[in-house]
Amino acid sequence: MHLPDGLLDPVTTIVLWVITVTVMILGYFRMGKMFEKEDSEKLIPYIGVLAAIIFAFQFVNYPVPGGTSGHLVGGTLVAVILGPWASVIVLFLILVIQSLFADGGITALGANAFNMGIIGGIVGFYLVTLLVRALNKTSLKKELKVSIATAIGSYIAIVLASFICGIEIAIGGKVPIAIAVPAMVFWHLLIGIGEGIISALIIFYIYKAKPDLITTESILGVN
Amino acid sequence: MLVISVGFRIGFLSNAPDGLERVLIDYHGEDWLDNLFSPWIPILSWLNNDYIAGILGIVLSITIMMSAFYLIARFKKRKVK
Repeated sequence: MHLPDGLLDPVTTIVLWVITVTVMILGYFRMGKMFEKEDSEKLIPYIGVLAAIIFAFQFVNYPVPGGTSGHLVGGTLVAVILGPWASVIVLFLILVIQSLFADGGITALGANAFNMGIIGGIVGFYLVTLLVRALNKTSLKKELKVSIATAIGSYIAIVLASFICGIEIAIGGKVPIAIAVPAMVFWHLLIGIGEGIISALIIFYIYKAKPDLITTESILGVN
Repeated sequence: MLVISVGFRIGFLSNAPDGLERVLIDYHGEDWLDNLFSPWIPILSWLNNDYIAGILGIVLSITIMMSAFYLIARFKKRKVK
């Protein structure tokens, strides 16, 4: 879902840049107590490795029936691990790096970060929170609740992001809305399956290997 | 590291266009997509080898992300003090 340069109109480009930068600034202030603890610097290497994992997984294109491929976006995944606000900053920086390799445009960075970081990350995270609270009524173990919620939440977030991306492309006048939106949603209904599965597996693995890396347990409300 | 290396090793499973590219190619054709206007030439777009690009990207991701969050942590702690 990496929008290249030249696809969006100037107004959409600027508006999405403004929203993304505003959310990142807000995110810096709302990242909460995570970085105010004495030993918060211990988290930093893990954040670096997480970024590398997201970058690497975004390189892995899995085939999707119909002659298309998909790849992990990771917005919801990062949000479940680091929190919704940090996820926007992480995704933005990954997109900056990817734009150096011509994967996604430089003017389209704001839009890409909006779709993958804000919709994928923040909206995805709160979807996961709702799902976790619903799963709290079951007797499933904590790691299963969060993994299942992440799978479903990230799937819905990706489909929603593709819907919005379709609207952005249509506003730019390059593809009519009657084609752009259904086509984007259709492909991402398939691509999102991979997103959900991979995100859930990573969360489950982290719970097994190093559960204290999931910094959002209290916000998710898992018990 | 295992996840990265496995993902990287089995990477590039598909060269097919992703969902967004598929929509654009189906409507406009591949040439149109390749010729969209961009205000800059991505500084690392000359790299033809996907594996080298991937390794470089991973190194950049780790470096830039750690630097950014190190600065964020420092500013936040200074504010608390």
